[in-house]
Amino acid sequence: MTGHPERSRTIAFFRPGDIFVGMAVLFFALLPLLARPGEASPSQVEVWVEGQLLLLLSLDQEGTFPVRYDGEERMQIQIQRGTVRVTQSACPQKLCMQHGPLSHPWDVIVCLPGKILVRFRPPSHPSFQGEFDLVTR
Amino acid sequence: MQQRDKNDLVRLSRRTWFLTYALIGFLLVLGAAFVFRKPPPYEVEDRLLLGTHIRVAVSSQKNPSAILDAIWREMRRIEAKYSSHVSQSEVSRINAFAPGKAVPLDEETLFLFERALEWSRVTAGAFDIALGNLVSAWGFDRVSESDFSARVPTQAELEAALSSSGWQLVEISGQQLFLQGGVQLDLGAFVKGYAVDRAVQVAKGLDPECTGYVDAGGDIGIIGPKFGGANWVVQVQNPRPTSQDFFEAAFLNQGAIATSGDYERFFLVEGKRYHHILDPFSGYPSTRWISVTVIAPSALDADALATAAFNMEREQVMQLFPRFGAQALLVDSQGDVYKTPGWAFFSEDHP
Amino acid sequence: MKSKQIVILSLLTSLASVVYFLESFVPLPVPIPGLKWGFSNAVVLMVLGLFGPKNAIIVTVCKGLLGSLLAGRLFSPAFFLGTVGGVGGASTMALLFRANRFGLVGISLGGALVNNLLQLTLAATWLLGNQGVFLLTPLVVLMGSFSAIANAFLARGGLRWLNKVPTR
Repeated sequence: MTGHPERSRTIAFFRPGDIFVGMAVLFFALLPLLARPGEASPSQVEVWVEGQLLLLLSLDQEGTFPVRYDGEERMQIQIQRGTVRVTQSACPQKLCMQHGPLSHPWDVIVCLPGKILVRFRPPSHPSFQGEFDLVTR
Repeated sequence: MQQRDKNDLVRLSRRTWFLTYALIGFLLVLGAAFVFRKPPPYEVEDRLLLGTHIRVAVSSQKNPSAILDAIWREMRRIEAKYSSHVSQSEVSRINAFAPGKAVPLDEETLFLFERALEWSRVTAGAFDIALGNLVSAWGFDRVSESDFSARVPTQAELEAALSSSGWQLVEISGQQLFLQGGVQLDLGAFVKGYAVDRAVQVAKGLDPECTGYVDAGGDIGIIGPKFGGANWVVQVQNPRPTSQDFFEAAFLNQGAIATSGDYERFFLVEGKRYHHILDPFSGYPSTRWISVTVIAPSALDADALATAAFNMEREQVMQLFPRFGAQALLVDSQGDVYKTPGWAFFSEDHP
Repeated sequence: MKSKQIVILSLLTSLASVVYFLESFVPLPVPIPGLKWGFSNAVVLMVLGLFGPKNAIIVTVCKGLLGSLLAGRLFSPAFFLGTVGGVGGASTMALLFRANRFGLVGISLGGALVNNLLQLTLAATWLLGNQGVFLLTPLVVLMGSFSAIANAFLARGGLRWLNKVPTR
């Protein structure tokens, strides 16, 4: 119909090759699940702003915490009964506030305009657990 | 027109595809590299220098072994120049001058003494490099265990030593140093920190991106964050290790940390401990604290402040140290621990 | 290019822009910022079938520019993510189309996959600097695939309808 018969080609709705594309989709959808080590019950929440770890909060520590960066309050997060939710946000759409409370180790709250990411501290994080590099004496 | 359209599609577009996919591939590789970045390994070497055990760990994309070599060369140079254990050292040369006579100094020595006197002024004499006579009276200047006397000096001996000790007897004027009243310098508390700072500077000078640490017998200077992003976990030695060897961890990715303790060099007479950190006011070993750990921007300052804090009251330390970007952890003989408020920042692992 | 084709292309471009703008008001089952239904890609799929890869990419860029302009989000972080992801996705669709082995479903799925992975990678490296973003991958990819299959149906319907429009 375009007037270029050599180029115009009707596209079939489904062809066998599509199955391979579907497999690629499943592969990428499941890849992060495989890469993630066995879940432990999280005990700490990380708040990252512009690639910097701004807050590291313990889940036992209930309350509302402001996320301040560059002299402005970008968000308020609330820790309650071991879950985390966003109660205030300076971003226009406030999608992060609609995000249900964070409770699953795989869950993550992202605010693109505020460049904020809230997640549980992964259990595999190389944090201090009795091992050390140096001794000062 | 039609023909050209077709060409656009077949030829030009092929290049467009190529560029687009090169871009996508680049971004995916970038993402993959970001996610799966491998930390560069550390080259670790140990040496006995400056009368202590020194460990250097360096990671560099360039040439880590060249950096290590340069660090050792610099530290050997500093040992030869300033160590009190070396008879031809600058300190021995200066101490041999007659009282009141002008001692010419080179730039480096001048810098060190000016820095030391500055700390003496700021800490009102709690830190003092002019306690050579007091140190010898207690015998802490003897190197080997065999000629170590382990004897408490008499009051008369101490008073004599005190009268010819103290930073007020040291004067710098121009490029020259004047030692009054037979005062003797003892840079013991200063040289290790300086050597650590120089080692860090040498490493950064060869590769500003390199990371690692320099540990001179517990005086630690950080060259850069572990694996480029993580903190080094530094344990503070428990001054009385009964149940546990360490009691506190500090997380550092820059700056320096140093500890002074009454357990480093001491002797016991009739069950009483006499250690090497002397109180310039009483002439006796300081008894306020049994261990002081200081985090400071440089090892030189950390070293000097750790020694100074031994002779300072708690309130003095809390007030003075934050002004110099330094944090202190004080342990008294009861085992009670006091920290400057800013210490809490280093007690947590901020990646 | 014939004037009729230009008209059709223009109409499709404006349709894509409006869909791109309007779909941001349709709530998603999961509130992930930057995530959209992606139904405007059905139009891109149609353009690909009708006018070839180059025009598909032009329409992708235009719908991103016009749609963001309408929403007042031009040159925002989300705009750059969407544009880079969209161009990558359209290029993928074009490649799959030219390979001549895939149907609308496969082309649409492949485009959505690359689009979403690119946006996640960009968000992780450039915007947020945190690989935690990849935790969203399963959700985003599965959501995108759902839209992609819907897009394949929409594109089939659209192409059938347009084929009935007399061209000569």
